[in-house]
Parts: sequence; C-alpha cells; structure tokens
Amino acid sequence: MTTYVLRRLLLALPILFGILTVTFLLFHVVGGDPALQRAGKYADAEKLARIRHQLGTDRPMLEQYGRFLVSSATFDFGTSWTEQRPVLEMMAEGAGPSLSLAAPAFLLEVVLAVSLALFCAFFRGTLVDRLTVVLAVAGMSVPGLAYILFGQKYLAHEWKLFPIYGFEPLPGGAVFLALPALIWVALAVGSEVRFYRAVMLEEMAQDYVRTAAAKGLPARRILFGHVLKNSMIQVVTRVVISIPFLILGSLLLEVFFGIPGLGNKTVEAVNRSDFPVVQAFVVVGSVLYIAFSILTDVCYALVDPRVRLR
Amino acid sequence: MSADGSAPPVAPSRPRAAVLAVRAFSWPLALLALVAGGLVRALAVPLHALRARGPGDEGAVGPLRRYATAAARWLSFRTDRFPPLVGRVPPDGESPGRWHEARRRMSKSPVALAAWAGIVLYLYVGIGAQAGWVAPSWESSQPDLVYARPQGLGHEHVLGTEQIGRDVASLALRGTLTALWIGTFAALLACVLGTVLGAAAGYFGGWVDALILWVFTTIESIPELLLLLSFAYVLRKNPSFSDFYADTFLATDLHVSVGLFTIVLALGLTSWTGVCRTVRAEFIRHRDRDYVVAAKALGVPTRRVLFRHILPNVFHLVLISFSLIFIGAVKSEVILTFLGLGLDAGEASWGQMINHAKLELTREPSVWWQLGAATVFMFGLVLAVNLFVDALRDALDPRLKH
Repeated sequence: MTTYVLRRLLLALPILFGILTVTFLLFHVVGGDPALQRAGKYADAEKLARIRHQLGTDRPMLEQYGRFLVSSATFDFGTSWTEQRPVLEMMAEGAGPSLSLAAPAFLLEVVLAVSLALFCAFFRGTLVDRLTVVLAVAGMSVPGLAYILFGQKYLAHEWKLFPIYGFEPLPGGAVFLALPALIWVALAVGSEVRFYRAVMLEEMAQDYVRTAAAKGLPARRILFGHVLKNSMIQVVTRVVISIPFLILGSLLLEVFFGIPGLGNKTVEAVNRSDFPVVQAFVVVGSVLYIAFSILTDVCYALVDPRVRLR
Repeated sequence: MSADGSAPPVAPSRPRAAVLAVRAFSWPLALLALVAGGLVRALAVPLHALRARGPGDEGAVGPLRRYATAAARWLSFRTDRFPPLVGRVPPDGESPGRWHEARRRMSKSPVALAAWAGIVLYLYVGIGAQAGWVAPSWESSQPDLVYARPQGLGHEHVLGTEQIGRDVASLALRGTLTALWIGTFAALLACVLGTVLGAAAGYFGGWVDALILWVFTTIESIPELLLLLSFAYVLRKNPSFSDFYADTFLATDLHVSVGLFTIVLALGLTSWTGVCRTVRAEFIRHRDRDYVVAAKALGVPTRRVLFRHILPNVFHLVLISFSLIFIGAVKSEVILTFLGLGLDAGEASWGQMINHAKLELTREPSVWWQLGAATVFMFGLVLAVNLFVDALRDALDPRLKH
C-alpha cells in the first residue's frame, strides 16, 4: 500500500508539471499583456513600462516561467491585484463558506440518489422505473440558471419560504443555505440517480444475488444487505473524488445567493481581471483533484478487500 | 452578427476555403433540405400514417409508438433511413451491420423516435433561422431604444416582448440557431481533435502514446469548469486574439461574432479529452486484430488503416461523445454568457435571454416570459439529445443498460 501511494505520488509529478505549464501558457502567453488591462485605456508608455516592471512581465519568458514554477511549488501564488493581499489567504477564507453549502447539499444529494437508485433497481423494467429515469433525464435537462432564478423569485420572494439572499456561518446560517442546497440537489440528483442505478443493476445481475434469492432471503435483505453493501464501493469512491469540487464550490449558486465562497471569488476575479487569483484557483483545484484521485484508489482498496494495490 | 448582410464593411479579398464551406452550408443547404427532401410529401404523410400502419411495422403496435413513428416520419420523411444516417442496408444474404441493427432497435422505441423528431424539429428551426425564414425580424426595430415596457403574452407577440421591445418568440427561435452552431462546432472540434490524437496514441503506442497520454491526463486533472472559464477568459482579454478574429471573420460576410468564436474554441479545446480516452482504448484493442494485420501486410497506407479500417468500428463511441459534448456546449454557453465571457448583449442566444431575465424578474409585476421561453426551448433541445444518446447507447450496445 505504501509503495503504491508513493508510486502514485511520483507519477503525479509530471502531471503537476503539465498543469503548471498549461496554466503558465494560458495566463502568460495566450493571456497577452496584463499591463495593458491594468493600465486602463489612456496609459502612456511610461506608465505601461512601470506596471510591466512591477508585475515582472518585462523579463524574458523563460525567466518568468522559472519563477512561476518555483513560486507555485512553494504554494506562493502572490498577491491579488485588486485586493492587495495574499491569494492563499483569500482562498482559505472562501473554502469554509463553500463547504458549508456544498457538504450538506452533497450529502443530501447522495442519500437521495442512492435511495432512488435502489428503488429503481428493485422495480427495474417497470413503469415506475422508467418514469423515474425519464424524470431524472428531464431534471438534468433544465438549465441551472432557470432553477436558481425561478426558485429565488417564487420560493423565496413570492411565497417567502426562504430568505432571498445572504450568508452567515453555520449553524446560525442554515436558513440561508436551505434554498441553495435544495437547488443544488435538484440540479445534481438526475445524473447521480442514473449513475447509481446502473451500478445497482450491475450488482443485481451478479450470481450472489440469485443465490440469495434461491436460498429464500426476503427481498428487503437482499436489497439492503447485499446489493447496497456491495455497491457502496462505487458510492464511496464517487463521493471521495467529488470532494475537490465541493471545496471549489458552485459558481452560480454562490453568486446568486451571495455566499462568499470560492466559486463567488472566482467569478469576482474574472470580472475584475485578477490574473493571479484565477491562476491560483486553477492550480490549487488541480492539485486537490490529483490528491483526491489517489485517495479514491486507496479508499477502493480499503472498502473492497478483493482489490490489492501494488 | 451584423444587421445587414448585403453590404460587408470591408470588401472580402479572397474567401478562404473554410469560409466557402460554411457559406455553402447556410441557405442553399436549407433550400435543399426543405425542397429536395419533399416538404410537400411530408405534409401529406401524417394523417395517412396515423390511420394505416406503415410498411415497416409488423405485429401489434402501440398507439404511442405509432404516433411517434408518424411524427418522426413527418419530420424526417423516411423512417427506414432512421438515424444515424450512416451505414447501409445490406443486400440479401449478408448479415446486417451494427448500424442497421441499431436503427432497427431504435425505430421500435417510442422514446427514441420522439427524441429524434424533437432533434429534427430543432434542426429545421435552425436551418430556417439561418436562411432567414424563421424569426426574420428578431432584431430591435428601434436600435436606440433603451427601455420599452415588456408586453405580456398576447396575439401580437405570442410570447410577449422584452425590455427593448424585441419579440421573445423570435429571440428564442433565433437562439436555437446560436445554440446549434455552438453545440455542433464545439463538439465537432472536440471530436476531431480527440479522435485524431486518440487514434495516434492507441495505434502507434510508444512515445507518441506517452506524450498524448500525458497531455490529456494533465488537462483532465484541471477542474473542467475552471479550465473552460480561464480559457474563455484569456482569449477574450487578449488583443491579438481579437485581431485574429477580426482578420478571419470581419472581412467576410459570415456573421460569426467574437463571443461565438470564443465559446466554440474554448469548449472544443477543453472537452476533447473524453473522446481521446475512449478512442485510444478502442484503438489499442483493435490494433493487433487480424483485419488490421492483414491490411498492413497488404501495404495499405497507415492513414487509411487508421481512419478507414479501424475508425468505422469505433465510430459509434465518437457519435455518443459528440452528442454529450453537444449538450455540454449548449449548457456552458449560458454560464459563459452570464459571466460576460460569451455572447454580447445584441445577439440572440438563450444565455443572453436568461441573463436579461435576471433583472426583469425583479420588476413588479415580474416579467417571467423571457426566462420561461429560454428555459423551455433549451430544455427541449437538451432533453431530446439526452434521450437520443440513451437510446443510441442502448441500441448500439444492448448488453449495457443505463
């Protein structure tokens, strides 16, 4: 196990290098000259040169690349151009609010999706099953912004079931998070149901299910004791791999409900042309993703004793 | 898109090949599809088809399926050439191929038929809008108007008007065209890129494989939305990209806006990894099979082995990926436009409609029809493609049950 993790970490190095290169290419080569945007429309050459010097973009490309690699490797993403404080500090600040929306919503979504999938698997092939699948596909097809705008307008504004906007840290702010969490579940549950249903159906076709049925076990026990237990492997791995996305937060929900999370900060940074912030988000998001994909494989081995990592 | 197509601002010097190809794709194709396809014949079919069973039906047929068949036949003229329009019907004595089987299975499923009918309907709207027959007067009649009181649903404007007096129904129909352009070209770009790279990686192996594998693992490790956002962001901020855009499109009479171009490029260049992964795996499976070895031994050029011998065997997977990327592109357009990285305010797109509706909803009494129209139109297209992909997947690979 230890050797496996070590090897995976070593294999992640070239990918990390690739991510840093892609990010550098995007923001420093494709992105053009940031000084032009920073200086505004009516800048003279002197001001431009001063800003370029300040940002370090007057140096040769290779030197900039080297500096970028070194500073990223030490998790030093510089200071934000608009807020004049370390980017890392801003990120640390945003992770909490993002998670306080994402974690409960995601938990609810997984529980709901797994229950519905079990339900579908039990009634597979019948009208109820097909109806659930079609409804799931229909739910996936509604644009996300429509859920948000209509939910905010009717559920919050007209019928006053929820506050429209705002954020407070948990547990006091739970009332603010209820509507965004609900919309999160509505947005995501369709594809999850479909995924877990496929998993459950695959389990249902296994020999041990037939054996259990032949032994005369009640359907309830087969379903919860055998099928659910075995499909938990897939559930757990899918949950673990989703964690980085939970930390990064939901762009649209956070913007519309005024939650000061990372998604909100991303949109703000894009609107203000704050290069270092967007760049740092890309790098940190990717690092998290790689870390959690290794963790997923480890979880796989922990949950399922048949899986050996070498 | 400029208002006046007849007088381009700069005289085009020499139209590029791509320009010619796209131009050929616009209204002449629409004419061909509608006239040569036989709209007249199509209009005569549905009543007849509903009353009597079609020639291809055997045994008992449910009313839902009969209705869906009639609808599909009405819209696409021939259900015996049911989608996808690739492959061929084999002569007697030859075993039917994968596509033929898939077509047979799909034409038995009411959901698949209904989904196909929906897609074809959207295609017709798109072709009509490109030709200028559908929603010809979608632009504001008074360009300087800053605000006009939105009118509700009524007989003059079926779906009402929006804040600068444009007809919502026209905007939604015109938005269909934009969505189809974005979805088609982004998915096309992604699929071509993914297929070529995946084929090369899978077939050649060795350092080519290692390099391509490294590139797509890297891109896959960056959270998708963040990558897409940064890509669109840096493109829009780069002045030389605007110059490149202006050189390519402004001097021609192609009405491709900078936002559309950015979205297609950003989506195409970020979503090819999935195709690449699938195609690579399939090519690894196929590269040592007898037919490939035989082709190589006979001296068939490598390019031909790759794309004429192996690719047809894995093409169904590319087609499924195409549809999935199409859906992703249509949905992403809304998000990118909302963030100001997509289409501009003067263009007709569902993203712009939703974006405007954000403010309209807060008015008293609230103006919901623009958001509603965009939602329903987008929902229809995405649902149809979603259901179609499911049916296609089931039909092509009956062992899988999604």
